Amino acid sequence: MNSIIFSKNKFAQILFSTPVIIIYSLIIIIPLIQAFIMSFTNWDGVNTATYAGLANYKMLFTSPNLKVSLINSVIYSAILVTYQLTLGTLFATILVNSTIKFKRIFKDIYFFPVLLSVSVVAQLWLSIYHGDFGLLNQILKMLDPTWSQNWLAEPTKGIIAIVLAESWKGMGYHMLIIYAAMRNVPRFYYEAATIDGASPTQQFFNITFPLIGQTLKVCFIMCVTFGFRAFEQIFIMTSGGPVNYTYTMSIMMYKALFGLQKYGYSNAIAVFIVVICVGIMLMIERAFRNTHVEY
Amino acid sequence: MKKSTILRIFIYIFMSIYALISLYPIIWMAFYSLKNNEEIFVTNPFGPPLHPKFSNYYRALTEYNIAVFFKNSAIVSFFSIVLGIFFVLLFTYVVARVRTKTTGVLRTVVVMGMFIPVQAIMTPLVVMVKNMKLSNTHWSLIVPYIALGFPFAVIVLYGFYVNLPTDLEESAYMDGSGFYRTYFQIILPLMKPPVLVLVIYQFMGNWNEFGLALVLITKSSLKTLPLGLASFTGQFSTEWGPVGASLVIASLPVIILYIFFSNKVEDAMAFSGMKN
Amino acid sequence: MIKKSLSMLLVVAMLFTALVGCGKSDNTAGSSTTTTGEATIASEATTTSDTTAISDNTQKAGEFTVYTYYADAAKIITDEAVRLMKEKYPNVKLNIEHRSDSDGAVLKTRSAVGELPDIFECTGTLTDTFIQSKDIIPLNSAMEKMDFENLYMPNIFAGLKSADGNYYAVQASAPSAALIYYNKKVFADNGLTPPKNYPEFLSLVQKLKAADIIPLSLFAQQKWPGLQLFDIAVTSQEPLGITGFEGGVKKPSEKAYTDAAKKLYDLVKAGLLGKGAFNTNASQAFELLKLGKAGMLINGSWYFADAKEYIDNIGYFEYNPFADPGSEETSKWNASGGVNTPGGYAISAKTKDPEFAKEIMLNYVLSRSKAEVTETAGINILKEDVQPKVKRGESYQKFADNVKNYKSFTKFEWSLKTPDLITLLEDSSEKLLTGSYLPEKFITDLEKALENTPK
Repeated sequence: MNSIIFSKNKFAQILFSTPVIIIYSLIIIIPLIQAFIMSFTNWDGVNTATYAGLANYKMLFTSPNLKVSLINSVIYSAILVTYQLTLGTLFATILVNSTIKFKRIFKDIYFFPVLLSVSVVAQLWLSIYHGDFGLLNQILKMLDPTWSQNWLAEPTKGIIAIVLAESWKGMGYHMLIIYAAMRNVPRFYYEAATIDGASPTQQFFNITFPLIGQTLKVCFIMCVTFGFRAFEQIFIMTSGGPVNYTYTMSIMMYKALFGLQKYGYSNAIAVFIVVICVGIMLMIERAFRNTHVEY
Repeated sequence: MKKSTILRIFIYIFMSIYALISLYPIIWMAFYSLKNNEEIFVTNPFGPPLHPKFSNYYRALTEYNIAVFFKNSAIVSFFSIVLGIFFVLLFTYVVARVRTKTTGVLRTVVVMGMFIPVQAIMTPLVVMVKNMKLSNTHWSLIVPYIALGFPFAVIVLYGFYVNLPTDLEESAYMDGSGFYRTYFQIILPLMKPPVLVLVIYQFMGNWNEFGLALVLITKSSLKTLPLGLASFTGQFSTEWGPVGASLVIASLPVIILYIFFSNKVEDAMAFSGMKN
Repeated sequence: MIKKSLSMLLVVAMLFTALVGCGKSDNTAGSSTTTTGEATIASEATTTSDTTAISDNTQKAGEFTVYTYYADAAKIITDEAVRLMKEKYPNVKLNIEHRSDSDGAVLKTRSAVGELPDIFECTGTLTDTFIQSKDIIPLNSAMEKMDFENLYMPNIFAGLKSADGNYYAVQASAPSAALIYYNKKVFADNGLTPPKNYPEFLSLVQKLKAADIIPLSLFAQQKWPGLQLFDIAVTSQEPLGITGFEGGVKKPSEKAYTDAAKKLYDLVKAGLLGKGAFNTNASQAFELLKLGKAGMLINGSWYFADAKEYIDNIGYFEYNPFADPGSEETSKWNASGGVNTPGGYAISAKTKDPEFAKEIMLNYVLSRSKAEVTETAGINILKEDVQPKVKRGESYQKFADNVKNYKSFTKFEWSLKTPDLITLLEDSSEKLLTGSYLPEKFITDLEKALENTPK
C-alpha cells in the first residue's frame, strides 16, 4: 500500500506534514497538556495554582451529579446515533437510488436545519416544548386534556426532548456524508449485480453497505462522541436543569468552570470526557476492524 | 409493478412531510423576525405575524454595526477555510500514502482533537495566541479556527485519499512528471468533491462560532457576527424581534453558500462517478 | 466636595452650544444625543454649585475602554453617562464595550494575557481574585481627592471596602428590592386584593389557579428568581434571609428557614408556578404578566423601569405575603435583595495614567448615578437634587417613597460571598420549586451540604 512516490521524496513528506503538525501542536496539543496538568491543581484562573493531587478527580467521582450526567450522556448518544444514522442512511439511499423527482431539492431542504445556528433551533424547540403554550402540549390537549406534560422539566423526559431536537437538527449533516460516500461507489458494481439478478435489497446489503462501511463507522464515532461533548443545545434549552435532570458531562464541566470557578476541577472533568471519547473511538475501531472491506 | 407505484407514493409522502418539518424552522425564523415579544412568546409563537414589524430589520441594520461584524466574519471564515483545508490536503496525503507507525500515530492524534471540549483548553489557548503575537488581529481567530478544523477534515480527506488508486500518480511519476507536479496536477483536482463538502461544513462552523471569539476578540472593530449579535440580548429584558431579524441576516450567507456549493458538489461527484 | 460635580455642571453650561454643533457621538456604539436632559441639568447647576474651582484635568486628552453591561435599560443609562462625560471631559474618549458574560470568565482570560480593559465592571468574587493577582489598584487616593463618598447619601458605599480597608471596585446604585408584582386588572376581575399574610396568599394562589391563570410567572430559566422567592419567604421571619448562611450565622434547620421551605412547597403544590416555568425567560415572564396570563411576577425593583409602558396596570405587594398572621406590620420592612450590582468599576493596574483613569472612572460612576435618575426614573442617591425626566408610575413612586423605610436588606444571590454558596443555594431552591422534594429533605440536605461549603 505504501506509495513509491513518497519513498524517494522524504523532503516532500516533511514539507507536506509540517504546517498541520506545527499549528495543531501550538493550538491544541500544548494547551491540552497544560489543561491536563492543571487538573491536578486548585486554580481560580488568575492567581498561582496550588498542587492538589487527585482531589479534583476525587471530587468528580464522588459528585452526586456524575451518575445522572453519565446516564444522560449515554441516552443522548444512543438516540443521536439511532435517529441520525437510520434516517440519514435511509434518505441517502432514496436520494441515490430511487428515481423520484426533485431529489436535489429534497436533499437541500433536509440539510437546512444544519445550517441554522443552534440558538435559533433551540428557541424554536423551546417554544414547541413549552409547558404552558408549547405547540406539543396544545396538540395533546386537544386529544386528551390530561396528556400535556412538563416536557423539559422532568428527569429522563427532559434529556430525551432535547436530544430529539438535536438529532433533528443534525440529521442532514450525516445524511450528506453518507450520501457522498454512496455516490462514490462505482456504478459498474451495481450494473454487474443487476445482470447477475440481485434485488435492490441484496445490492444494498452486499455492495453499498460494505463499501460505505468506513464512512458509517466515522459517522457512528462522531455521533456517539458528540453525545458526550454535546453542550450548546442543552445549555440554551435547560442549562442542565431543573435540578440536575438534564445534566451531561459537558454541562458539568461548564458549571465547574463558570459557576463554581474551579478551573482545576473543570479540567479534571474535561480530561474525563476526552478519555471516555477516545475509549469509545478505540472500541468502535476494534469492533469494525473485522468488517472492513477493501475492494 | 403496482407494488412499486404504491411504494413510490409512500416515499413521496414521507419525504415531503420530512421536508416540511425541515423547512419550517426557516419560515418560523422569518415570522419571528417580524413580531414583537407579545406575539413571539405568548399570543402567537408559531403562526405568521399578525402585525408585521418591518422596523425590526431597520433596527437590526441601523442600531448595530452589523456591516462590520459581517466583514470580520467573512474575513475570518475565508482565510481559516482556505488555509486550513489546504494544509490538511497536504498532511492527509502524506498520512494516507506513507503507512508507517509514525503517520498512524499522527493521524490518530489529530483525529482525537474531535473529542476535546473547547472550553477545557480556552485559557491556555488565549495565552498561546497572545504569545504568538496574534492578539488584536484577525489572525487571533483564524489560526485557532484552522487548527480546530483539522480533525474533521483529516477524517473526510483520509477516506478519499485511501480510496484513490495509486496507479494514477505512480504512472505519471514514472513518466517523468515531478513529485510536486504530479500532486498538484493529477491528485489535487480529484479531491474536488470532498473539498467542496468540507468548505460547507467548515464555513458553517466558523461562521457561527461564539465561545472562542468571546474570549479571543477584545477590540470591537474585530468582532464577528455571533459576538456582535450577543450584545442584542440583555440579561433581564430584550426585544426579540430585532434579534430575530439580525439572525435572519446572519443566516443568509450560510444558506446561499450551501445551495451554491451543494450544486457544485453534485456536479463534481457526478463527474467522478462517470470516470469510474 | 462639590467641586467635581460643580465643574462638570459649569462645563455643561459653557460647552452646551458648542457640543450640540460638533459633539457628534463617537463610535461608542451610537450614544444618542438627546438634548432634553441638558436643559434640566444646566438649570440645576445654578442651584447647587458654588462657582469656584475647575479641575485642571477637564481639558486633558485620553482614551479609555470601559467594559460594562450595555443592553436593555443599562444602554440608555450608559449612553447618557457617556454624554455627560463628553461634556465634562471633551477630550476624553470612552470606548464602551458590552460585558457579555456575567461570571467574569472573559475578564479572567484577559487578565491571563494582560489585556484587561482600563475601566471594567468587576463582579462578585472576581474583585478578591484580582486584588490578589494585583490586576486592580486601590481607588482611595482619587476618592479622597474628590470627596467622592460625600457626594452621595450615607452608607451607599458600605460593604464595598475590601478586607485590607481599601476600595478597589466602586459602584453607586440605589438599593433594589426583590418584589412580587401583580397585574391590577387580573386581580380586579377576579375580586382579589394584594395579600397581607400567608393564608391570604395561599388562597389567592388557589383562586388564580382555579381561574386558569398562572398564579406567579417565574422566569426560572435563570436560577436567581426562585432563590429570591425563598429569600422573601425567609425574611417574613428572619431579616437576614439567605445572607444568614454566609459565615454560618444561621442554620437551615432554624424555624424561619424550615417554615419558609414548607410554605413555598405548599404553594408549589397548590399550583403557584406554570408548567413551563423552568423554560421561561425574562421577556416571556414579563409578557405573561402584562397580558394577564399570569397574575404575579417576581423580579427586582428595576422592573419598574422595564415595565414603563404598562406600569399603570402593575402593582406590587407592600406586605410580605409569607408573613404569619399578626406579624404583617413588622415583616413588611424586611426587604429581600439589596444592591443590584455586585462589586463595581475597577481600574486595571496596566492602564497608562492610573490617577487620571481613576478620576474618569469616578466621574463616570457619578454620571451614571445621574443618568439613572434622569433617564430611567431611578431613585436618587446623590446629595445633589436630580429629578427624573419622566414621571414615575404610581406603583414605582410608592416604592420610591417606601425604600427609605426599609429596616434591612438581604442580598441578591449573585452578591453572596462565595460561588460555592451561590451554586448550592440555587440548586437547592430549584429542587424545592419542582415540587418533587419534600421541604424536610430540602432542609436536611441543605444543612449537610452547607457544612462542607466555603461560605
